[in-house]
Amino acid sequence: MNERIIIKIGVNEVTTLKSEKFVSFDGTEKFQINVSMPDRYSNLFRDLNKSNRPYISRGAGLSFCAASGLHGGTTINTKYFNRILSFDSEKGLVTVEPGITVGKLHAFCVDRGWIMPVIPGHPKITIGGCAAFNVHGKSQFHNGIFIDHVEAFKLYHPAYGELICNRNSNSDIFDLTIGGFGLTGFITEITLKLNPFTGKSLEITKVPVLNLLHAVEVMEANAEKVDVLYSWNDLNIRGKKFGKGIAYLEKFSSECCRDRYKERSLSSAHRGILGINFFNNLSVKLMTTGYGLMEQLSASKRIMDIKTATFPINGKEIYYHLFGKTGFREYQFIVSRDNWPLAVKEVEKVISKHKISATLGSLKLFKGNTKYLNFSGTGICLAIDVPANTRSICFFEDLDNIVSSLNGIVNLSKDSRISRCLVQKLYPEYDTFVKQMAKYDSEKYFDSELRRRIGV
Amino acid sequence: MSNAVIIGASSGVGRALAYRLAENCVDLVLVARNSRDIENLSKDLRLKYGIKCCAKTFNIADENSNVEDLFEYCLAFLKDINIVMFPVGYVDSEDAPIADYEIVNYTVKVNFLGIVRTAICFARYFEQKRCGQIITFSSISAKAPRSRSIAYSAAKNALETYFKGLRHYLYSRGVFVKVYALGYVDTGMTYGQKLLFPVCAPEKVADHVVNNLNRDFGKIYFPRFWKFITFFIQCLPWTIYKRLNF
Repeated sequence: MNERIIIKIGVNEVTTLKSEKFVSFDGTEKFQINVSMPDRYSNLFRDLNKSNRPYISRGAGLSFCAASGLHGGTTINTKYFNRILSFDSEKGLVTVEPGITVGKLHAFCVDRGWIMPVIPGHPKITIGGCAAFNVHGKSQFHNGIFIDHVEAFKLYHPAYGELICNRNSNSDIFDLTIGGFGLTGFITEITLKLNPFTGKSLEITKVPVLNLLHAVEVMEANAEKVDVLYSWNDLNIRGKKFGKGIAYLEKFSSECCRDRYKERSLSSAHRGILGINFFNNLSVKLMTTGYGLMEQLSASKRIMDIKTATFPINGKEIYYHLFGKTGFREYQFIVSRDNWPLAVKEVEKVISKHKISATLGSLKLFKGNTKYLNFSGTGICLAIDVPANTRSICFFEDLDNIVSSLNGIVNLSKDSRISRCLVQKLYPEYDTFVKQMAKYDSEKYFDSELRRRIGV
Repeated sequence: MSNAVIIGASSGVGRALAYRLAENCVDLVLVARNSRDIENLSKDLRLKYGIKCCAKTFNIADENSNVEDLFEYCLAFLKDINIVMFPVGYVDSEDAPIADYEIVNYTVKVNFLGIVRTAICFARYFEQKRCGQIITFSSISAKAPRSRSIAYSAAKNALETYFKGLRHYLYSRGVFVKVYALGYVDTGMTYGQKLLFPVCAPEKVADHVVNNLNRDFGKIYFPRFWKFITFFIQCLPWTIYKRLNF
């Protein structure tokens, strides 16, 4: 039940919070939170100094886990801090406030001949959210992760005031913040480096793949020839065809194409609005088989306007609604190329063991290093979506063992049940991250249920 | 319609008006108490819409702030002023029945005296030019006061009365004077409240204001259904009115 809370914080000074129900986007975590929605900087700084501590920022609230909510603290919504502050059309630098959505910023940049290199899946995700999770886009292999394209930002912390952070100044806080889950402070503005974009559209080539191993081979063979690549895989087929699907090879094109882009709405609060879970073994099988057929039968090459093509999930929000109130779980991991064949075998085994119906399987190639708790590295990344139930938890626990034994890592923003022990095991720099966070913010001004779960 | 001054532009209806006017290629001066919000808003509008836009800090409640300086600044930047808007509203949470005089005084300064003091300067300019628009924002509580926010209701009622008189005078001089009596709007004032009637987005208010700039209607309730609700409340006899808890 929503409820207004007025907190007296000084003589003739109050702050207004709203008590509302928090639901993680995957629908598995639910609790009450107090939310502040400052519409001016004076209110923002007042809330960050005088509201109930601890604090956590919230953009669109689309992270699958409870990264923007916490019991007994204050969630600060960045909705009104969504402006573009500067744009250097010579150098391709744009400075924005954290609440701006990637959809709005992407449209702004593309219209001016530039493009953000790293863009997550839905246009409603905010730049602040991208920074908090140091996101990767559709094609990490080509574009790296978010921090690779951050030039600088301003960070507000009640104990330190507003800090300017870049690779030369406060560089330790710079590294701690991008991928720091919003736990270092409130980013008030951030400067991003863009890539030149003279094209108008994206040429999408679909290549059928026989299984997960073949998918990686196809993607590796084409990696240097395209600008974006990823795959869709059906993980409900067993045997030699496990992971049969489509590899998407995308190249920027100068061919004109009608702009069909229309930004759709997506929110955690309304994700479970259909109530019931429509995904069972039969419906998942029908869906994945039908989708695979549809993709195979449609043209192998097509041109799509750049704004529509950038956000494949936009327009397909029904997929998340069909999970109903019980929600879903996603497991995304990276293992090295050498361990990939073994990983495929083991994943298929546990899917069969738990009789899992995977609503989505998707592959990406990854290239790079891991720092702190960033989801990055060199290898193969596989994402698996399943309906949330007790079977899926047991399934994910088996996946934890597989990834751990193969020295892989798991994406902390996707899985709502990852424990501190597992994170410590998988991420070599976990203890360093914990130490650095404690040194920077010993009083834990900023906190979240995610932080409490992984013990940072 | 090619330029406007918005006083109270940092948030809520003022911010929405700024975006809507910029979409219509109207050059703007944004005025508010704190500079950072309007500076950032001004940058955003210039980048997105390519308009001329600047920010000017001014505290409407401060009797020492120089209105003439503000006016000269706006005129120098815009070269001409067609519209001035006052989306200014302040309600103190301590504006309870029999609030302290300091609270009443400040509420009246922001919601009435400060607006009038500033509007006088622009009104004289428009009178000389024999064209222009002055738009201010009142509240449904002006005509339906209750035990809460007494000072706010009184200030808005005074504002409506003053602007009605101003409209009467300036009508023959070709100047539009308009008052929007707003119902519940989704701003910091209504944040978190459980209200009997739906809240309206500030963008909807801005849309209506900008779409009706060429109309001279004097006072209007927005959303329109509040006209009937307020009329009904005003018609209630005291024996029933005193029992209302709203």
